[in-house]
Amino acid sequence: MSGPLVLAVPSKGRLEENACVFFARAGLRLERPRGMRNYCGRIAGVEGAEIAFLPAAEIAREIASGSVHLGVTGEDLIHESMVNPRTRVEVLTKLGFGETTVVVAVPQSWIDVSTMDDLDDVAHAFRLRHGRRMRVATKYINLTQAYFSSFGIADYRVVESLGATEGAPIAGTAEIIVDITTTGSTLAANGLKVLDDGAILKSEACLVASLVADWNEGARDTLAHVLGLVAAEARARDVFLVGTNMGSRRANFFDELIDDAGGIELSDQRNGALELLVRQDRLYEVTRALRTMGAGRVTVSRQDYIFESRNSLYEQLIKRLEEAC
Amino acid sequence: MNVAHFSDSAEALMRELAQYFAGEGYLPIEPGMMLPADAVLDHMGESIRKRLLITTAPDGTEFSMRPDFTLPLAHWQIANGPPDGGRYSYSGFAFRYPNPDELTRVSAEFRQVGIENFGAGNAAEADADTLALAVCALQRAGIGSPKLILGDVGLFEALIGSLNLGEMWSGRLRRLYWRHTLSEDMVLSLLQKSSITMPDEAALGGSLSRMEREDARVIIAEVMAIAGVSGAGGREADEIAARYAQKAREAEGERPSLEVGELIDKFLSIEANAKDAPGQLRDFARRAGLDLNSSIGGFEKRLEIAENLAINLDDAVFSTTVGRRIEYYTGFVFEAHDQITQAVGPLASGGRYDNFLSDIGDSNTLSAVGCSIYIDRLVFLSGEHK
Repeated sequence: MSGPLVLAVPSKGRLEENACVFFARAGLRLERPRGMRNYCGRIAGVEGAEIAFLPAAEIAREIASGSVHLGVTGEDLIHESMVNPRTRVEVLTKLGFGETTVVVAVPQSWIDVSTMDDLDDVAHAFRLRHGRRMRVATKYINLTQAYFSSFGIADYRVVESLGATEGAPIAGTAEIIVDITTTGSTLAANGLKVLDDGAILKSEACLVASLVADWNEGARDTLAHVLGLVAAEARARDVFLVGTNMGSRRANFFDELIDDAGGIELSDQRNGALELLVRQDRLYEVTRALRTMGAGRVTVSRQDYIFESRNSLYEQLIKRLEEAC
Repeated sequence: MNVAHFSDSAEALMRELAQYFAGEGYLPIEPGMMLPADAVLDHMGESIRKRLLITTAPDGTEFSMRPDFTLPLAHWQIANGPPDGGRYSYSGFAFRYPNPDELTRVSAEFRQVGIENFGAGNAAEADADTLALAVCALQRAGIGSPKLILGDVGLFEALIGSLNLGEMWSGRLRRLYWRHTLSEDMVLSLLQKSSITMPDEAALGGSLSRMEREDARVIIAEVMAIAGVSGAGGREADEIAARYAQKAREAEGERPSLEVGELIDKFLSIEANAKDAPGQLRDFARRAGLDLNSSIGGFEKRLEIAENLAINLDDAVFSTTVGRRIEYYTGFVFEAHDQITQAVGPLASGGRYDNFLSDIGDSNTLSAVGCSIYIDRLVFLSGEHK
């Protein structure tokens, strides 16, 4: 069996832009052949890959069900859309954008409530006093249920809210909310405050693989291609290539250079010519040490890709797939 | 997800037990299969949501397949029943997605036969009767002497009441009892870690804590009015002020001592033969210097009546934890298990839930006691035993 690798990418907004930048950095140009209204695409130069442009929440669900192989989505959505994410998905790498926190927020006027324990007291009293359960507006129904029950809170009802959740308490459709926030300013503008222990989940965008998709040979080959580029670019972004010529002066200079702090690796060494891979924070230190040891000119350069002998991201996923079998 | 198989033996057993309960004076009721999802979630809470079979009508209203018979029969009683209650029986499918550890079914449908007794005058007699009927029904299903586990959630209530803790601490301990799978040191950990934290306005909290509660409430309400804080978020300013004042008082006051926690732990770990339980409970109360006599007496009375009804309680055990996962129970509770294969879960369970009808809107505040027989587990066992 052979079929295409299906990669799901957020269909609009900042997530889409950032995801395209991420793939472009690895040399993978995402193309929408018929423009923004088209929800199918391809990767330039990678035969055997299809792109599905989908809303981020749908990507999490499609990965859980195995109808796409790989996708860019948020950790919040992964945890919301499946009961036990570890059995269904593998988070390959965090992408450093889309950072947000899912929080429990209550009206600022609730001066007697600052913790989840308070909320438990109040939820119970609310039910006795008003004859109905306190309502929580959210699109994170499962996260809310799991988090509230971990505090033993049961006297509440979820009101599903798919947009402008922060407005629900003012609109009178709910008493409190569970929603994402980055700076808290939208919450404050709506007269809400986050509980002291109300941070349910810190989340950012991730490259995620489905463990339950059809990983046929063709899909695996294309995956190795895509992840190989991603990993090689990520590796290259981390380090500088430091080159110099030590002549015949010292034979064991490399042993003298490395220490326990890490960030320095030997890349190549012959006839006195030396190449090192050095992490940014150790760069100056290393160049100075080389000169102290008698090196002449030291050149430092950025690399576009560093392909290691092992395709680490790819192997990580293959290992998980084998465990899952 | 599979669907329930048609089963001759299950159908026959349901018919037999339904006839038995009807013959004992429990009027058969056939409630509808669907309930408004709101009614179910309001009653059972969000934690049940994932296990419900919910469907959405074209106008957006959500309906749930009945997750049990108690709720639809209670609705039936409120809408159609006589004002002083009645005795009803039911038989049919209820619908919940199974727990992952459920052995006897993979389908969301399961068969139940059972009874509800609303508004009975003598609670002790009605409780013992219900237990006796459950045991007799199991005998008809081939379970000659089930393993009985008996308890009374009113005992914990009485214990907390007699400890004279503040309102907030009592409430937290009660909810801990109902909602957590209790590990040994959970109560201690609640008493150690949980706290009534006042916000930063320590001076305000400090002054309030020394005032009469009503005075403190008035002051907070005025401060909130000055600041222009209205009752946003469904709680009135007055309600917020009252709790703030109460919190200030209880935060200043002492948290319950660890001895209280140890006492509660000791109570929860009481395990005894049911017939020895009243004695052990009295010992416990005497040593702790608490008066739990009326609750212990009530439990004892039920054992006595059940034995007079020829129910053998020699092997029955007492448990402080039975029935604890169903928050609406208010008194006597029981489970009946297979002697050998207890992993399938209770074959019958029941108890008293006096607030049930008033909680869902009955103005007559009728008492309630009932039990359910789990047909699929019985059928599963009869297959096992063959």
